[in-house]
Amino acid sequence: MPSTCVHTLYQHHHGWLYHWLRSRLGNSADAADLAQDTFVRVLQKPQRPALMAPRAFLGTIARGLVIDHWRREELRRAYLQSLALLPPAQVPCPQTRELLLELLEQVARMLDGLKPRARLAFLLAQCDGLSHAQIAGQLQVSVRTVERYVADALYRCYLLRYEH
Amino acid sequence: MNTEPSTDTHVVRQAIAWWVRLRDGQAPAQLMRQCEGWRAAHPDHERAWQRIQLLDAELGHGLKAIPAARQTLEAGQRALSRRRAIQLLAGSAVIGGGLWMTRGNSGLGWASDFATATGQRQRFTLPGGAALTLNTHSTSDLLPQGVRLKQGEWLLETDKPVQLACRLGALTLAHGRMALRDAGGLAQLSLLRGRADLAGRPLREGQTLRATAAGLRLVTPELDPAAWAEGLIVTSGMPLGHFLDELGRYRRGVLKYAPEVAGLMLSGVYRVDDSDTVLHALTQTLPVQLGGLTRWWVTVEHAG
Repeated sequence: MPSTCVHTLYQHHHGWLYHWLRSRLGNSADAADLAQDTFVRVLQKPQRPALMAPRAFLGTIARGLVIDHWRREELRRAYLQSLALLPPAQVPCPQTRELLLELLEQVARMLDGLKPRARLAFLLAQCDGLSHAQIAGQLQVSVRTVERYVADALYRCYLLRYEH
Repeated sequence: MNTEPSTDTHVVRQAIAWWVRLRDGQAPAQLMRQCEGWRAAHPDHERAWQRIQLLDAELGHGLKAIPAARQTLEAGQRALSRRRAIQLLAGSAVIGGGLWMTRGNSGLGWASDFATATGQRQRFTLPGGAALTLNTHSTSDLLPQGVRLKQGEWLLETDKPVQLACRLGALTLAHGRMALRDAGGLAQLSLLRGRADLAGRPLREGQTLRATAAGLRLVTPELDPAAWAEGLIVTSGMPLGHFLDELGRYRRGVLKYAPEVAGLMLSGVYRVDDSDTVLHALTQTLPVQLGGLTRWWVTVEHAG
């Protein structure tokens, strides 16, 4: 969309968006970052959005970003906890850590919305390299069910990887 | 962004079904032949199949390299679900509060960051009309009287004076074009055109000033300081290691290289928006080969 249009949107609604995010995140620095990210997303949109309801439009983008932000925070916390259990020599350097976290985040986003058991089946296959029979034993379901779980998860990953 | 046409859902589902059946590696020969028959039946089948293989390699390669990846993902997901549930409960009240707070607050406008993601370039217009372009993974704040450059790389073009705050100090670009950088262990500024001064010290067109352990020094940069704004890395001679560090700034995944290839020299013009192609091109001109080429993990090794 034309940047002048976004400029107007920014001038009229940035203050509102910032406060909305701050009340949700409880932190003004994160709120400022996500408000900015919201407008970056708007600039990247190829089509002009329906601006009959600009705040609903911005709110929808911002809500997605809040979820992404939380996902990143929670993954970071869980990842650091898992690192604490490693021998010091095996702890990757900060830069590698950031990149691995980014990969975890991509995978977490791909699997978001899957049923917990399908998600677990897929992770047992991809992270731990278990066979379908082993997964079936662990989840107490048939091999056919495991195959369906893994297929559903992979399809979701496929869509996010290739159709976006 | 993927610009290739999408493959039919039904074909993708079929390809996944084949992949799942063959995944355990003990499939009977007859089943494998049937799968090969299906792949050969239509180019779309083969294409979907190849994509599944690539996706599986990318995920498997990365995830198996992370200790306790599954436990980490599961713990993260549980915590996220809890926070989401709380947000749903709070949702309507918060939106109401937000609307109420908005009145009289539009003046906050430009108070927060400009930002770009990894691999992204974005041009912003500052109040007063100056153009600020951010390179990959960069952030800056708008100050009441100018801009603060936090991390990353910027190109500023203006015909009116703009104040800048960066790691090298406070500076004024009276008019013209200036490239600045504070990324990858390199803090420097280059006056490409026009007039500027850094803490009262005037700069000359074409000069690059770099922060070093011994203070600020005039240097000849090994990279064209503004070529990135056109999506290019332009060098007339630099070690491969530095080049790959530079290219890695535009990639979301890990880009590693073996120490024995770091000193190989290269020069040329490279497009950062297609870094996979750049990496393949290196194997044609230098004695190197690529290991584990996926979006998330690439190593550059000595060939032979």
